[in-house]
Amino acid sequence: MSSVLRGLAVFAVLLLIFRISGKRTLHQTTTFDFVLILIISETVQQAMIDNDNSLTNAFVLVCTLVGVNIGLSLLKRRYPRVNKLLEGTPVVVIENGTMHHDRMAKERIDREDVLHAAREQHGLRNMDEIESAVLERNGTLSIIPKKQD
Amino acid sequence: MAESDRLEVDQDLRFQQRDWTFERAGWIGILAVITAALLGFLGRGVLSDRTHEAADRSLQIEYGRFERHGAAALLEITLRRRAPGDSSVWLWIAEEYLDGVHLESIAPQPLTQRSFGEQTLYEIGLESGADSARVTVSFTPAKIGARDLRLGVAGAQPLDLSQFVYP
Repeated sequence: MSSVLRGLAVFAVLLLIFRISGKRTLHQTTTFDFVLILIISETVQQAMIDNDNSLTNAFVLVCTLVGVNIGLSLLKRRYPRVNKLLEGTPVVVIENGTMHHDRMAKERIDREDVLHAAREQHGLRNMDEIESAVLERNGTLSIIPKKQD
Repeated sequence: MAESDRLEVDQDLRFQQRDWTFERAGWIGILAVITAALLGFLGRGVLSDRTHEAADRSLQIEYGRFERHGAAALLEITLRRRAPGDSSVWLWIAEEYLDGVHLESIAPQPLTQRSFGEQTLYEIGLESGADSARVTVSFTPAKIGARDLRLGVAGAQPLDLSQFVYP
């Protein structure tokens, strides 16, 4: 019983912490994000396993974590409010060529991030070629280029 | 449609249909494992925690019907005073059971301990005035599978229990 409860507790705490940390935190694994994930998993595993190194415990924990994940995905599909709560909403940061500086500041994105995404996705050279940019729920920046005449 | 417009995807909906069925069945399996674990079928929990008493009430034990290999486990044993003048009670546990566990501690510590045939005997002291003593045996199961747990108070009726140790 306690394995399931420990798994649930860790899942809930991590969900909350990553939700607080914002969309951009783990969207792409930079070197630092990688280190962060390593340290977090190392710290959390102690709490989850709690001196029970049996195979059964590992199996139950994996089933709990995956099961909660499946359960939440079903809930998210069914209830849009749950989806918003857990995943957040996309944010338009450039609209018809105008930057929303306030939104970018809140999401901690700068010009460089937008240009990076623009180069990567469409091979764009500068801001003038961008029509819109959207920060998606998973933290990626989607760039929509201006139509070529 | 021109050949160049064709969407080149290796789609196999019949296979995918079966794949989805397999997936849903797996979800039910996961749910079953979580439910079993919550109920205590895969380790400690409501279904696992048992209390048994010898027919002559000489001993009562709380133990886990389902334990896990290498995970800390307990036997909580209550021993009753046999005769008014006794200052201790002899508890025995079958050697066969003790062979399959790493015994960590017995608290309170037995006054003496001796091996006798297929049993290990522990002399447990009784507080004057108290008519029973509570003993906690801490151990970690070291053998996997069904285990027979035989124990009792010397000269009284034994208890025959079984445990299952998951890997």
